[in-house]
Amino acid sequence: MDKIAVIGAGTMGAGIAQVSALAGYQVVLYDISEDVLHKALTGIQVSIDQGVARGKIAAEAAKTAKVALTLTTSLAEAAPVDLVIEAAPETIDLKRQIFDELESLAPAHTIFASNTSSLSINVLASATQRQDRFLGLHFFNPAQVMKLVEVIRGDFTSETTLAAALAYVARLGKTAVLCKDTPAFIVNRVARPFYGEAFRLLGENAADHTTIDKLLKSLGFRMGPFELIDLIGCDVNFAVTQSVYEVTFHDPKYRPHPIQQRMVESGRLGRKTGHGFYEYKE
Amino acid sequence: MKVVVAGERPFVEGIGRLCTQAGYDVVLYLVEDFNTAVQSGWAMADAANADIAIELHNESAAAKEELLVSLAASIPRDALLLTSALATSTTQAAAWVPRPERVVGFGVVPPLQQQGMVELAAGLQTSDESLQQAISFARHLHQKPVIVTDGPGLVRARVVCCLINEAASALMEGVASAADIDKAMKLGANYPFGPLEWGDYIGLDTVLGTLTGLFNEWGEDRYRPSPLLRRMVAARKLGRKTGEGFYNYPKGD
Repeated sequence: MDKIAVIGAGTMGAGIAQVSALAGYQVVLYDISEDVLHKALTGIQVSIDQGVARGKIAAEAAKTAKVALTLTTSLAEAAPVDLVIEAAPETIDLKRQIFDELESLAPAHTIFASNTSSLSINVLASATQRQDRFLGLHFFNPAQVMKLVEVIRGDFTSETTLAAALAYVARLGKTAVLCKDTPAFIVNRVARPFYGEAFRLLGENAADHTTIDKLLKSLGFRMGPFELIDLIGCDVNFAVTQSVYEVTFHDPKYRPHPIQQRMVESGRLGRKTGHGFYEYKE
Repeated sequence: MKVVVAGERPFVEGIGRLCTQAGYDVVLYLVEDFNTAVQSGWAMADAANADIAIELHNESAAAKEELLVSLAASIPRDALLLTSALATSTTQAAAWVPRPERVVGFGVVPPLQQQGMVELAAGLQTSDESLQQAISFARHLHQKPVIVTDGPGLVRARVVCCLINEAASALMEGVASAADIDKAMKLGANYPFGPLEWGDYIGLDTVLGTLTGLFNEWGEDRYRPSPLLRRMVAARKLGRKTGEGFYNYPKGD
């Protein structure tokens, strides 16, 4: 496998394209918007140059990676590759439409992967005629830094497809964990109580948010739940909570907390608005 | 000052070490020894001149009650009685013993650190004087006291046990292997330990006891212990202390 297409040049797509190019793959980055593509390219170049300056990326590898990365707004140009990684917005209809179009454009051997964090791999795969060559590759933000990739097997993913995907993840220098196609996969699911219990404790007046953060950091968590939610964005955290709650048919353990909704509806979204559970001065 | 520490591994060793390092005269009892000792009579003598007693038994509310009642009967009337508020609230624990005003709840999650934090909680019966004594005792142990509202698990053990429970549910459902679940949480969410290895370290009986305490207190499904956790405890696969839990621990490890 040496040619890869990344569909969607947002934060995750750009990050995946960058690490793939640095690992020596030929990478085509696709987006419907020229503007988004050029912003992504600038971001990738800046990030690679910073890596070189910090001694983390060899000058030669940086040069090769920049040449290996091309941009396109044509799905037909992106399709003739060995692996397509879709990193489009988290909407089922949009993703299915992309895979449906790719099905007729890509060669038979091309493996399709989705970077979805919440949608079912089986449902996405059903938009194609190649469910054996379909799987999930869930990267974590920022993809340039985070070492983990959740490799999600659909019911029909073949061993050959899985082996190829694992080889790709290994070549990126990342660690793969194998995961069944279940709601929120591993990390986003197992982490639910970290946020859920923190909101409960706050709502019960067990302690204030600063104390809860301080206590959990004392155990070695790098960030407390409320600092982390401010970083992720209260809106994004609330959306993930709601999505897990919905796809589990309202399993009560995943029920969102009224504090989450109140924060989002008051526009206190965290760092990005300068105010969440904490205040952020310019 | 003499401190009696009674309960389960690894809590007893951890708290015992902190007390010894702080210069207290320490007597440690693992719960099975303590019950034998109470029956044979010699524990009474050992605890009779204690200034502080620390209970660390959270396998179940019933087991905790039994130990607390024994401890309370063995120590002087005015000794401070610290209860680990995991399997029950401080208020519930205090209600089982005479002179409940001397009972203060606390919360720790292994592995304990030398410059750590301890959560302290007053039960509805706890006197201000007892709480102040508990605060100054925590400071002597180089543990920063943080006052929180009473309830099973207080803050940290509640969050950590719920994480372990969710990881156990995922494991039971075959979402991923134990090793991959732990790896994912460490690399994907920057957790200090994988939840399953953490459970093995804390002791799965204590994790189950804490979750059961939360479930009974709130009556809500979110605290329902994973059946896998219940079965592992039933099979005495409690983690490091019995040599087998989510992982295997060769003897002497």
